[in-house]
Amino acid sequence: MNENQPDLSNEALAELERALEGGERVDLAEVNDEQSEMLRCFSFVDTYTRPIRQALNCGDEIVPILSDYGELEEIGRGGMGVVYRGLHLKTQRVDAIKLIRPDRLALNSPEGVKQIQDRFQKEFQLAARIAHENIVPVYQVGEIENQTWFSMQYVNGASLRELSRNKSLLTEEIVHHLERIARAVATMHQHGILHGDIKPQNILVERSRQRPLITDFGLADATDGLDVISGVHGTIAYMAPEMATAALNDSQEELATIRTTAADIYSLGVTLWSSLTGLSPCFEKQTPREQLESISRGHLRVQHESRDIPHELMNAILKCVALDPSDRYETATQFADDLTMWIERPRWNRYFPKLRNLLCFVVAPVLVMSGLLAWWLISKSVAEVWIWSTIFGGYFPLFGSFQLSQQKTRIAHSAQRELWSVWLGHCIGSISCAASLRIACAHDATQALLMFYPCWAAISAVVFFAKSGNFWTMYRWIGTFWGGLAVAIALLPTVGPIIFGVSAGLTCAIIAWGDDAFVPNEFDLSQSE
Amino acid sequence: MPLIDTNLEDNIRKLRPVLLTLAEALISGTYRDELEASDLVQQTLVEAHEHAKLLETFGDGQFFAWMRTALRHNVLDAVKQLNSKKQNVHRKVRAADIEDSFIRLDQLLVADETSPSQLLQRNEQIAEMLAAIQQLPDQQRKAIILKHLRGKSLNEVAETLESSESAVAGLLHRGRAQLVASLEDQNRE
Repeated sequence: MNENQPDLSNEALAELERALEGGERVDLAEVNDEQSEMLRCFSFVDTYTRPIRQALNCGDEIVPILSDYGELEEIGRGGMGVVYRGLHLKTQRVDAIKLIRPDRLALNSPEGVKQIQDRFQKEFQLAARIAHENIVPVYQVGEIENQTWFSMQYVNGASLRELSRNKSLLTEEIVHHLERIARAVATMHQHGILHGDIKPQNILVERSRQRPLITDFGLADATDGLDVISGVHGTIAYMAPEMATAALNDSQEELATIRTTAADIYSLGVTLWSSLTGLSPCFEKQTPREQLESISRGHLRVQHESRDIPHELMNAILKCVALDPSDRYETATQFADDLTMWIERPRWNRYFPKLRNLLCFVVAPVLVMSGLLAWWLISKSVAEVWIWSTIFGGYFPLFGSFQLSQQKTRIAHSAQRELWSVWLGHCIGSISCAASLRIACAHDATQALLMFYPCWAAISAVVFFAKSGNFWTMYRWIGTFWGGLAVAIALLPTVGPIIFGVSAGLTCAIIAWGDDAFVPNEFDLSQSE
Repeated sequence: MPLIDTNLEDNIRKLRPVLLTLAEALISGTYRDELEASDLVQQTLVEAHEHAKLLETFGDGQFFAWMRTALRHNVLDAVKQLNSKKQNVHRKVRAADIEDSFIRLDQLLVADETSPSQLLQRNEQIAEMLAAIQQLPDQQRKAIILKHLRGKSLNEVAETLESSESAVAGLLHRGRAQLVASLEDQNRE
């Protein structure tokens, strides 16, 4: 067969083939037409077979040997870099060592190689600029066979993505991690650095201290000095709409102007959503191009699936992912502050573990009954003292349930003081109101009683409004309702006690079930134990 | 007889050469004399027909994922069967490697992870490349698979194919030229 007969051309091809295997750079000026055609075909076929080759031949890649480190073990691989774990011989500390993936350099054009090397260099230069508790620190930079490597802290733990996929984190823990990461990102922004690829995969949580650390500055950019590297990178799912538009248009100029802190803030919001739901932020069954198109139009999965995400967190997420960058948080610190506020929100359940059930099943029925009883007593014109006792008797189950359900710990003290002072204030205000009315209507006890109910409702309206400032926003509407109720009772004074009693019972039930400060969660239990 | 959707038939026709190249690449080393790639793929396709109802509901990506999983099981089953016949430490290692290979392949093809805009169509082009390899003449195909999918050196390919290095260089060059031509044709269409 002719094929098996060696000839000069085949021998030249074989030489070229061997040169490529050896990683020699072939001088294009010295090759003939057939050879240059061969190089073109080689690089074309290699581009599309290389990923498959790597998948099939894992373990075949040569692990570099660094003089400062013991044997290296591969622990991760990204689009650009490969990360190893190794023991630093002098310090006896385990570090993570990052190199450019050799296959990304092989057969790339000289410009391509330079671009990759520049970006890699920028990664450690930017990461080394900031020292922050929640940013993986860079330790050392070195070179091996013209290839730069750098070492950084080895984080023994798992990424936020793995943790959220396994559902091994509670909502409070995720929010706590994201709050700290947002503050780290804010620090980066203050130093003029954009991260550019914030996603759960790039947030590592240290197992021993439960400390989140942000890593992978491979796509980071400095807003000052250093040039913006051309090309749109980053993971589509976490890419801001303006970036997605630029990616679709392949517009370099557009990209240079739109890369702002707002894009990082967008990614923070999507990261929070994705960590809370354990879902990918992209619609499944979409091709990458369709995903980019949805994102650039602001059509996001984030807006459609809120699952069990608490209302305040969902608001914060939606503010991050606003289509117009100027509608997002101005700084990552503001986002972090909102998360802090959510973390620090009052949690009655933590300090009054049984209050929810007591409010619903004891206080609410008692208030309804005392309303009905007061109405009946008034209509029967019994002795005044019994009626007033019935009215103010309603405070006993309320205070009783506070007393019975409260935790006897120091840390619970301030939350308890808040609850006690608001409702003791309500009680004392009502008693003095009753006393004043009784004195004003000296000769008509019934008149004083009927006038008391609208005033009592008005006092309640004030209390609920006061609570809405710091606590559940629904208290505002409950306050409005009680304001309206005061007028209604004044118009229908004879059934005032019934209206009041039933409304009070209903309000108790609504608060017990609606105010998420009463909703028990595992985090609270683990904290209280 | 399960009712076969024409769409499913289309998908199977498109994927058959892709799976065949994958299977050939996988067994090209240790098992090349004992396992037949086309048998493994055929078995996988028969299973796809049996699950026609389920597969009809899958999108293209998920369909490919299902086929890969099915192929993986078939390859591993075949390998395990061979291993139980003859005791060989080398083989045990290879079975674990095949499992790893599929896991890496799946990671590589997951849409969520693909990022830069220039890689948008990557998966599709990889599949096209794998399919086009099946259209090459026998020797060229073997050489390309060994060299580009198994990462063997020219010397090793020549040894496996029992041919000279220069002849293999010629095979590789002609095979690559044809692949480039057929893929460029497809993209022009």
